[in-house]
Amino acid sequence: MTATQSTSPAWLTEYRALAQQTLDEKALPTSTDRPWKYTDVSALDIYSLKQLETEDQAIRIVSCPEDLVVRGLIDSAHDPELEQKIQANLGHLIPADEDYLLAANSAEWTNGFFINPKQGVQYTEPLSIEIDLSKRSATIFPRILIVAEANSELDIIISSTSIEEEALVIAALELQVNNSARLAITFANNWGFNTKEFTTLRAELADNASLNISTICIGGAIVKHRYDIHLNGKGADSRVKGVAVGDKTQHFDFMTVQEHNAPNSSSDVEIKTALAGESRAVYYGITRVSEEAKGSQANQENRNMLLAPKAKADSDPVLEILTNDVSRCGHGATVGPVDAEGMFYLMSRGLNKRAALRILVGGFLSPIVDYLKDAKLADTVRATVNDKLQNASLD
Amino acid sequence: MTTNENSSLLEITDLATSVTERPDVKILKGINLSIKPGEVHALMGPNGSGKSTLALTIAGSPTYTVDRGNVSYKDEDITHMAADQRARNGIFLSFQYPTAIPGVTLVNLIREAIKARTGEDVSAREFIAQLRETLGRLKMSEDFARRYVNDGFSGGEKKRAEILQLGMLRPELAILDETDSGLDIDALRTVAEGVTTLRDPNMGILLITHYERILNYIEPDFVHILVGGNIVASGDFDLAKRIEGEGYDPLLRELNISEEEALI
Ligand SMILES: Nc1ncnc2c1ncn2[C@@H]1O[C@H](COP(=O)(O)OP(=O)(O)OP(=O)(O)O)[C@@H](O)[C@H]1O
Ligand SMILES: [Mg+2]
Repeated sequence: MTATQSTSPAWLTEYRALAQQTLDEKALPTSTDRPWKYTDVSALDIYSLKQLETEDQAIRIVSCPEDLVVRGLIDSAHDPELEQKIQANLGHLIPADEDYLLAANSAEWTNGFFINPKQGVQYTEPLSIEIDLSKRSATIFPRILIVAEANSELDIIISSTSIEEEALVIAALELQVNNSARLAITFANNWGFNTKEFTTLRAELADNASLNISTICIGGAIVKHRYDIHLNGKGADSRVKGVAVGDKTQHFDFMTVQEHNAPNSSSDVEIKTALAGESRAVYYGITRVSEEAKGSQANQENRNMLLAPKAKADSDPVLEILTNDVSRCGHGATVGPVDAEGMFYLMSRGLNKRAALRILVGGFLSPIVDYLKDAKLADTVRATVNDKLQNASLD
Repeated sequence: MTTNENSSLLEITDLATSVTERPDVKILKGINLSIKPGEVHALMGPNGSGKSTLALTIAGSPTYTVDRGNVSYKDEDITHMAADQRARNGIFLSFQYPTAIPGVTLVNLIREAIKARTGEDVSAREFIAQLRETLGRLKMSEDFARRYVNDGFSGGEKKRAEILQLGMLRPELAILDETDSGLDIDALRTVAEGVTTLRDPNMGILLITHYERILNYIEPDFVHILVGGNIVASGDFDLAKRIEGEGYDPLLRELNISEEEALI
């Protein structure tokens, strides 16, 4: 227990005590829990590595738009102007006793972030956050609460790097996107080869609110991202775009849940992976369109390109439609080798096998990479993917 | 490497091929063909006679396996050479059915191809200048070159995209597989003129077509008729004119080729 925690408001102390109790009583999830079917964490020891005294040592604000509230969670909870907002939202989407890893985050985070785009303000510059474990082998528990006020507009970029030694990241994000607010989050993840990351993002969208999530996964040993999006307001709109490029024994796991609870809401999920070596990708997605969600649109797509014979992908997009009034709903999943015709076409232009493959994969991923708002980031991602494929194992 | 005036650019000897995944499907039955630098050879023949198979086999497609005979290019046996090496050595195939490469622009592809061919990256300025010049000559827009390769292209646009690549890559052996099919009359003239301006004394062309029209622009030195996996007749331009006029049947009868033999 750190000093700051002892001074938490009573409600927060209680929440965290319950999380601690859950940790003591519950076990890690096993493959019989559907979300963990293909990602084995049963042997994970979240206390095997050093914990940081405060996450501030690893999480840095690189740049912050003028006038945007970004503060430590405990600090904010003590601010009479903010306390109510924090109390109403922190732990609202992530209950303390739901599951082991979420409880671990809820019990162990030290500082956290509260991000609060102001009503009616369109921030033109992005908020850029860096998670940097490049100097130490450690476990961190990033916790972020975002309350996007009505009609606000903000882009957040979270980039992550780490050393090649072991590191463990157990992150939780709670997002409240109010009426007509627009929030975009980009995860640009380039972990070292022995980092395991488990991230849960939960969001609630009000009327005409929009949430854009873009995730680029390149590094890491095991990376699991789970996004639960509750489209509670009419006209709410969510988009999830994810890319993973795997090699060696890397393991990527994406899970998305879109709950359409209001009329004319729309959701779009597109996850694409390119897998070399013995790497593996998992996608499990549920889009549920409730009876109230008349006139909604939902799309779910997962495409996996296997670049090597031992690479593997499991894909399971599920669509549950409980209203007979949907405007457009679709889902698709593919797992397959590189297009042989495309390879021959490119090679007939003089490109060797690896160059042809780089071009094909680049094209395959481009609908997502080109969609990144930050052009410089998009360039970096293209170059990183290119470099990775230059050395990836293809047999 | 300089090519001896008298030696062949492409020399195909007794070439027989089958479909790699279905070895029982034999397509080419023993082709002999010799193309010298500067020559234009037209290859005609009924549907399914093996024209594209020959084109793809010269380009090194793994879809087909050479069962007999060989292909040599600039005095080197390339029968088992990988497709990319053949391309870097100067062979270019304009596909009958070009493949779509979503997410990759023509510009991007051409630049990578030039890099692969020359072993070095051309400067962006030089590249753009060259691209604009070629686009202008072929009456194509820069926007067209920025589209994804063959993705959503009309039939004619695909053929134009092939010729744009040909124009930028400047091969020594160009194989045009029905590049004229699907082009409108104006586009056909532009493409044919484009090919003609590219011609130099060292470049050989194998032009596969069903129609005489393109041959009026790119006049062939030789015309070959492929039937049932064999070249059954060779001649000059007059042979193409004859086929255009009366079809294949009279020729086949004259050569005593039964309908059965004409089938693959
Ligand atoms: N991959 C393949 N698998 C099975 N059969 C094939 C394959 N490729 C070609 N063939 C067969 O071989 C024969 C020759 O095909 P090819 O494409 O070379 O004909 P073509 O002369 O180019 O015809 P067209 O004038 O219609 O373009 C056809 O009967 C075709 O069906
Ligand atoms: Mg053909």
